Amino acid sequence: MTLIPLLFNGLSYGVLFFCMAVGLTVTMGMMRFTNLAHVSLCMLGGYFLVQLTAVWSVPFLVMLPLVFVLTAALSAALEVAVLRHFYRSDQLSQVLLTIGLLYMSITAAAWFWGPSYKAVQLPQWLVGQVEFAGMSFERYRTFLLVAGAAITAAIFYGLERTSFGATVRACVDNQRVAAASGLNTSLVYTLTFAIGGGLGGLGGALSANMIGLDPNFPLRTLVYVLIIVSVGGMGSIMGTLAAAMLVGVLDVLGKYYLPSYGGMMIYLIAIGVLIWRPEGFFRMKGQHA
Amino acid sequence: MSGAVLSATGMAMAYGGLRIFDGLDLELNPGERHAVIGPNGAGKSTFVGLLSGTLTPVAGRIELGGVDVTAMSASQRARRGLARTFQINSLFPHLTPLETLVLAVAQRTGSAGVFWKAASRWGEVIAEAGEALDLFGLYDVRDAPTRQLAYGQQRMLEVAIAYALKPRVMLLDEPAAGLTTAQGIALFDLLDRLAGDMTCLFVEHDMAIVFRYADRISVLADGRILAQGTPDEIRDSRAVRDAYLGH
Amino acid sequence: MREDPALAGFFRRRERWKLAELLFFAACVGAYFLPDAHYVLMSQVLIWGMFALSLDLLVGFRNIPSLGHAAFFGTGAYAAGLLGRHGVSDPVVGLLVSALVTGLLGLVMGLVVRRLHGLAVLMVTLSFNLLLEEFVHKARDLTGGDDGLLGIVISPIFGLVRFDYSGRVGYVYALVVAFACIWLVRAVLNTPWGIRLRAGKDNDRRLAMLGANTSADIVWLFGFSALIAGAAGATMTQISQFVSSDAVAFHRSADVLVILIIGGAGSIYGAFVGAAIYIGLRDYFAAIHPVYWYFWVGLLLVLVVAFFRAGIVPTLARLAHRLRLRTARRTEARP
Repeated sequence: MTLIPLLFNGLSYGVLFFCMAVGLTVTMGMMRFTNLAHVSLCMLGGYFLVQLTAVWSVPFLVMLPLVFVLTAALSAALEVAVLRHFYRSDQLSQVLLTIGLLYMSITAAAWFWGPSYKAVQLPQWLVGQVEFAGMSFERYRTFLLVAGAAITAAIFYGLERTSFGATVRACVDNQRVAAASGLNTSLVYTLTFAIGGGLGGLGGALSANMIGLDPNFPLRTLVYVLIIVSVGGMGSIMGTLAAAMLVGVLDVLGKYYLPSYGGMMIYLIAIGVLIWRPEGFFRMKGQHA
Repeated sequence: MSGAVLSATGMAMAYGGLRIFDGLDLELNPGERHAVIGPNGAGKSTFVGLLSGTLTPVAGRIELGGVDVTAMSASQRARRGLARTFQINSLFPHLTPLETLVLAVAQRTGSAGVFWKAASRWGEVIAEAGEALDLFGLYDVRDAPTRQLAYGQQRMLEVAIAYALKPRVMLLDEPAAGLTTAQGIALFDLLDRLAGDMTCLFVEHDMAIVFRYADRISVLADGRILAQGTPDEIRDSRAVRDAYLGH
Repeated sequence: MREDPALAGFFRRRERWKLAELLFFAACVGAYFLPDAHYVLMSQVLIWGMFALSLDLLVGFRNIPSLGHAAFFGTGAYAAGLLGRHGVSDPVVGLLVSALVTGLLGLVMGLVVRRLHGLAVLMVTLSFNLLLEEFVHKARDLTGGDDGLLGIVISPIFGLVRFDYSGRVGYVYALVVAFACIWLVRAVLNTPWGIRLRAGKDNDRRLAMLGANTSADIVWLFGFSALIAGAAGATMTQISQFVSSDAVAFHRSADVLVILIIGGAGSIYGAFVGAAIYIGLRDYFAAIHPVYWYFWVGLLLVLVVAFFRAGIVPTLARLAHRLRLRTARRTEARP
């Protein structure tokens, strides 16, 4: 019965990747901006959590929203100061610009926090195992699944039930018309960027103890996040969720059943899907979320 | 269908749920100058796009020289002798007019895929490109990047490309767009002289030009071909007058 | 009908070697004779330059974003390494075979990628690079894994000149290969196919309407680009008689893209200027801040994209051109 624990592990990874990728898929789908530095924001969220838990003894569940807010603020600042000037640039320029930012963030992190891995101090109730149906599951991973479900629900609620959500959907669907109908698109962009960055930071913070947090974190996660966004389909939250779960599960299964070459599976699948459906698996024209 | 160099039967086109037109029929006879006119938004450019292969119809059949080309791409149709110009210039900004026309001629003669012999040694291709440059008044600006050319010169280049391909059928989408009437007449005079036995379909708004150069005219309005015939027939047509007065 | 010579002159002028190009080669040759010349470093500049040139074919001349070019460099490097390890030690043979093998791989990639655009191309090239990187690390018996490939034997060139430890022979070898690559790229770009490539970069749709099969062009372009990249990788292996596992690393793909953009894409020599800057910075900063010098690379990249998007060589060329025009106008204006 090793399959269930494996699936469990895979899905918990999927949650992490979803948090990290969802912001990117929305900004890529909405502003058509290829932001490779998104994973730097994820990393910063992780380091924020490390700093906060080391300095304050605030409850963990309070820390997480705080990390979200901090990273969101930083993302908004970045968008306004740098990124929004390149919305009309060609894709290659955006890729290059954000690679440059990526490099800068990695070295800056190494400067501030040193090159070694940093761990987050987890509260007691998240350490150890929990028993269920005769199997034991890590508490932290269980927490991730629960948190992931809550975050996903919050995102869908926000998109479908709030007027801001409707605005975001409109901008993703057709930005020209959205702008023409009087929506303050630059404010929408900044806020969306902030929320996406905040979620990414949250994902980074949550993954600190699972994937490991060091200055190279962005490079290690960049590919996974990009694969999830492109396989899931730019701008599609549903697609990102499905792709993230798929990537998480397949990566875990692959590495377990094929220890020597299992790591290659994700890349083969990504190539396969993109050849078959270049727009992404779940991307359908005119649909959103 | 017999004898027609280009024929379209039952062409229907829609964008999403919006039906542009239904059941359009058109036949071009060899050497014919056929004008397509109609109110704005009637779908004339769309029609040209369907004929050239850049758009896919919802229904219909297109034959070029008796061969069914409906499933063929624009590139394949071009290789079979169908050339098209765009209403808005679609050129190569960083190439010079000389390079552009050398490319067009080389494409036609099949030598554009050669990567082992330097361009400077293709004497005949260059000479033919030079001839086209001359005819379209582009000789003096032949070495300037296209993006530095004046609009009128760019327009001439747009048409010159199609000419250099020596196609069987030329589809010209508002070739005189953006030109003065005098310039437009000069362009059409040139085409008239050059076209020889090339078949031309052109979309135009300027009625003076249309009535002067067209052998036959098709009026596209209300999602169908309202009238089709010689200039005199069209001029006398009640339906056409109504359609134009109505718009 | 106008005479040919006046028209063909345009093409002939472009085919002629310009003064700046000759100066470039003179500088490369002259560098050999500098006292305290660091031959190993200079060879690296040439090798990275060739690698960047191969990427330029895709990115600069055809706007295809490839984020996995180290796959080709690494293939060339490992091919030459494996040949040297298993008895084929003649460098010229090894170089040609490695380059051709890599070229074939490039054709395969081209077939896969030819109808894709934008993000999909980026992702497929990136994924393929990572796939290869993973494979190299895992297939230790074949590639030596993380430790790299050792035991490579390279015979003297033409049986006469042995690669030496000071790197002098290596530098001359790299220079000859680099020159051959530049000559080849230049020659191909001056053919009708070269015109068609540049047209495709400008307006792919219009080119198709001229009857061109643009996706076939992309396949051949990938093959050509991979050939040059493979030659660069093979040269590196042959000079150092070692293949490091980061010949195929994604890091290398990102770095070569950075190099190309800083130096200037679409200009052939921009690749080498960018490489010189990169290696120079790395050498200078590595002594001081081995980890943090990448910060300056990142910052330089951001500044280049923001302000000198064309890159150094094209920006300088444009300035020189404007200067020439201004002096020409001034001499005309004089009575």
